Amino acid sequence: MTRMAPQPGERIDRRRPLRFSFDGESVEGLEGDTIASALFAGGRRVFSRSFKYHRPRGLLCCSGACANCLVAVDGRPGVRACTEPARSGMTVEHLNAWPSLERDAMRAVDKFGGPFTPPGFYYKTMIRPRRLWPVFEWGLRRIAGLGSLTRKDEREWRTSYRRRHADVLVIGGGLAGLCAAVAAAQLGADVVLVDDGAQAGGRLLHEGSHDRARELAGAVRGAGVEVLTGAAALGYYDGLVAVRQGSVLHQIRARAHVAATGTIDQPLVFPGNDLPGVMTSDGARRLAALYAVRPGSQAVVATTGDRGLQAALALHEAGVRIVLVADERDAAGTPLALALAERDIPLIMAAAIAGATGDDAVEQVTVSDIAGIAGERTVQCDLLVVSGGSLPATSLLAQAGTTMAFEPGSGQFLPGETPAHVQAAGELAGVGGDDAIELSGTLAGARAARAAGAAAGTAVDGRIAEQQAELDALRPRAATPAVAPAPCPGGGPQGKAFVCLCEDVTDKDIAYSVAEGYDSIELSKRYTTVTMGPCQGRMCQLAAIRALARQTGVAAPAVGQTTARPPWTPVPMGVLAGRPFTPAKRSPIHPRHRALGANVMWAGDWRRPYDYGDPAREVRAVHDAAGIIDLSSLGKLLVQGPQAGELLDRLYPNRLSNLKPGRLRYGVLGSDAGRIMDDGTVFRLDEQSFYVTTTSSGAGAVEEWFTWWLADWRLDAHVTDLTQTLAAVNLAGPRARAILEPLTDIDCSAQAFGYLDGRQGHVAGIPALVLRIGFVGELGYEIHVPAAHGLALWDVLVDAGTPDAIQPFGMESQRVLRLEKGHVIVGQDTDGESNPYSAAMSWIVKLDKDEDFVGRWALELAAEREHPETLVGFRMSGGVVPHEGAAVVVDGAPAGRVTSARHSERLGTAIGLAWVPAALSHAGARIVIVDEGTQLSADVVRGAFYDPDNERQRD
Amino acid sequence: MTEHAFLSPHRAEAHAGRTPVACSPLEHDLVRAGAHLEVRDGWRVAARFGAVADELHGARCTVAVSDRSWLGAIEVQAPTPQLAELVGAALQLGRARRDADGDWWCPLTPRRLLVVTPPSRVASLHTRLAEAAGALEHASVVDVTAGMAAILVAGPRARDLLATLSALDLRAASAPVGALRPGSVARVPAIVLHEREARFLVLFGAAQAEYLWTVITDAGEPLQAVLAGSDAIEALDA
Repeated sequence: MTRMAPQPGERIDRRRPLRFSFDGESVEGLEGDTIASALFAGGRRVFSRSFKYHRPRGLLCCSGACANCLVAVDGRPGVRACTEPARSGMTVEHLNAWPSLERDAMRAVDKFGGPFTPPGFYYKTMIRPRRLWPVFEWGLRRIAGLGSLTRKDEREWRTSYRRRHADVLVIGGGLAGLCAAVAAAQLGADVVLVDDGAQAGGRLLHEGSHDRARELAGAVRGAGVEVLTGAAALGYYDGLVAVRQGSVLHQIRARAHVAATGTIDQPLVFPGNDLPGVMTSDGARRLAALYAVRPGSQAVVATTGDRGLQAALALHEAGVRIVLVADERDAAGTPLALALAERDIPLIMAAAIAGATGDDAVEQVTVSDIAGIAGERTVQCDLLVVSGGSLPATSLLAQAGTTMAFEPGSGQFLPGETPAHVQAAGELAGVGGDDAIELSGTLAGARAARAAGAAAGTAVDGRIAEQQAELDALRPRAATPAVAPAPCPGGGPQGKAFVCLCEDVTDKDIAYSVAEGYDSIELSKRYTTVTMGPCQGRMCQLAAIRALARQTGVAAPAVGQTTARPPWTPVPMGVLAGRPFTPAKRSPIHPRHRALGANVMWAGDWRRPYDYGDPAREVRAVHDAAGIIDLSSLGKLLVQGPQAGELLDRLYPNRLSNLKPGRLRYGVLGSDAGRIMDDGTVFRLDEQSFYVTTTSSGAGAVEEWFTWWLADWRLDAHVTDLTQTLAAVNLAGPRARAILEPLTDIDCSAQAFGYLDGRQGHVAGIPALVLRIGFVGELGYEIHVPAAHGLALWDVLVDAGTPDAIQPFGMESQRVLRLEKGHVIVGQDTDGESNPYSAAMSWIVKLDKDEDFVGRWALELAAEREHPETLVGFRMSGGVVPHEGAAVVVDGAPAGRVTSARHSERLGTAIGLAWVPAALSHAGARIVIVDEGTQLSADVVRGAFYDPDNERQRD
Repeated sequence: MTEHAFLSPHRAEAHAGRTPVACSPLEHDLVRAGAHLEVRDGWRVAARFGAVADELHGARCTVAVSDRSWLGAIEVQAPTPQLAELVGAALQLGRARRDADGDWWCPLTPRRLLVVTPPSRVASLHTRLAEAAGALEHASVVDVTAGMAAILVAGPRARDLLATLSALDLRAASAPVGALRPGSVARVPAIVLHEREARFLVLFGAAQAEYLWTVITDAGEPLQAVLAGSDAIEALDA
């Protein structure tokens, strides 16, 4: 019976049983159990199979550090059973074993595959024959990996971000962290404390100090600290610490940080060190103290420090028979040794584990004398508790810019100097003994509050200095230091001695990698994958460094550590992704497009109607009666001031300052190098005001461009972005005037309101700016109104146009219509190299302007030169519509490209625009287009295909 | 200085016996959510969604979300000394000033100011500012009311809601009442104004109203956020 009598500080609630399934079998547990503790209490000892060799693995750390208990929960793989709370009804399954956890066929790799699977074998095998790659891939995908994601049609998991600013962030809720949080909060700091455990308290909880933990947790809350438990800090990103708490990613930005992440109990390296039944001292104590589960009945404890001795005593109290304690030190701390002796627990010094054996679980261990004098002894046991020292959990500190220094006595890398806003506290900082740890935490908290600006004054500084002095005095009295584990003892049982349990990397593998030349920690890591498994080096980095040091003869400090990178703990991609935010701009008229069933597409960051189901019908309507298109996405700028005209003359190659009020002009905006950036219209509202339109996707860039140059030239003008202030529609077609006239107080007669005129007035009572311009080649009015009236404008025009069968038209039909007119779309028909001359818009450029203008020097050069390519229209000979991007070919070689192409029902043929060599740019020239291997011919057309004299537009 | 009437929703006139009423870019979403609309000061506003008492309760106990897109917004540009002269007080970036009429004067840059005002005051304020700007050189005054949408997030959990969408530091100590914080809200450029204790007015481009309303109300779901109409907010003000 592994469930013990009630333990003080246990987490389980014995009044609330629960039941879940593991591999289809029902498992009983108690509220508060983890999956692992419930399974262990029910007798399970094998929890997983190792990554490569498929060796059985049991509970090791019981704290989520190792990968021995990874399972799938309700279809979600990669869950650590030792930290995941058990819930009624959950479905838990093993990973990485077939057909079962008990009988895994892939164990054959361990038995027979060793010679064929040395480190890096995948760089040397499965290369030839190449035709078998798909087979190799098929096999590897089934063999490799830990678990699989089931492809469920419906799998939704709501995750979110939470941003939190704070004065001080304390990472780690053990003794040091709790004291740091209280100290900082008491000095007035806004403090957040995060701990990855189910409750704050750290080792206090399983080392019999749960009352102290509770007291401190109460003090922390009483001081106003926000405490996040079950919250794992993932990484340090330039002052931002990402913390995962379930489905929430907290992004915590603090002015100062206290790292109190403690240390990680380390396993030992010896043959058979991966057998189920081998547990770290902390792991065994957690099982016993928190879940009242006896980790074994007969145990051997192997240790390099006091932690192991403390574990032996605690387990003895829990009813585990400790048959032997082997301590690698020459001498142990006297009180602990005496305590063991009082309990008749045998303790031998200068002894280490030479090996463990058993059929799928520990059955006996061999202990040898380190000095090799006393020989070996073999002991029967079902539990081997190992304490190979501790690894300070320095990853976050390292990411924050702290360098580590090697402490030879304990063989640890401890934090050196930390950045000004970062403090290290407690065991992480190499402090031992509860008194010293508390003081270390208090000191760190005070320093952090100070650095955050929350506390100031000489009184605070004085107190900090006093506390530092107290801590310095305490330190020499810290617990007897642990020693670095002795090298893997020779002799004893043969078998694999694992340095990295996650990746199944043995000490021989490290030697192998060194022999092959991968002799630095970073190279060996990448070659053998040591420290690259789910534990991310928590259980193996120190062992890997020591193994490499032995193999290379380089001292451990010089071997160094691998680079610490986030995430420190595994995090689901969904948590990192958070809620999917895809900002979209929509016209105020968008509800009508939806109601009409428009096919909506992205146009830059706008959602715009592509068509309303039948683009051909839309085109016909515009040509024959009336169409209406929502142009609200157009960029719109108001340029005002005494020097507004000069600003525009300097920005555009056009001359614009001579526009009369009430007139508008097409403008092409050029870059410093004379390239076409954007296009649109410029309308003069009055002497000092211009209304500029741009392309929808270029609006932001054009506004920046205007603003930037304005700041540089310091002209007396202002630019106001009106893009979202105004809605706009284009009413186009022969019936456009007839539809508009009754609705407006503007005289729409051709005489009063001519082509390229603009008028201000009202349309159906709505204040409006109406521009006679068109992109689509028919009589048209662009009507700009306050966005708050946009929907009403659309409704009234559609209503008024119903007798004329007015048709909403979208971007696709607009593209056909503009193409019939030979109108260019900047960014589609032009690119970053196009200038107005090569794009057949030389009439735009006014080199006779007095003012310098952006790109003038380049355009002056361009004016004098021949252009290798010119943008021309073309009409297909055979009526086939080539793909946009198809090549124009001369003598079999690409010499240009098609930029736009559509079938024109009105013209009865396919037309388009293309860049062609200058020699072929004259009207009537025959060009060859190769489209997906098919050769097509077309004839060059200069000017508009449809209504080349613009009679319909100017009506 | 010329006022460009075609920019201003309030410049609508009667036509065929009806004067066009301005509508929020969120009207479609509000109606779908069950809003009761009323015409107030030339705008169709969501007066309430159900029982005002329930909305008030939500605003006092958790968080309420309310459309305020009908607020007037006037953009003033001028060199810094002239801007201060126009406003009648020195302006501090990061802080909005509330005048005796309840208008918020929000300095966005040293040379650009946004005045947020109730719709009933837009015309008079615009005229006053335009006249004052006309007397100054180098100043411009533009009615951008229709280009700004606004959503109010109010209540004890308002900060929690906004924390899921924005990295702006809106803690009381960092952003007291009157704090003005331009930044990103759900990846959209926005300005957050702390207009009253635990009441944040989020101002942003009208074209992104539907998007931002969707994400804000979605973020409010886990917090039991309520939709609040103008009646409830006015009751809160009282």
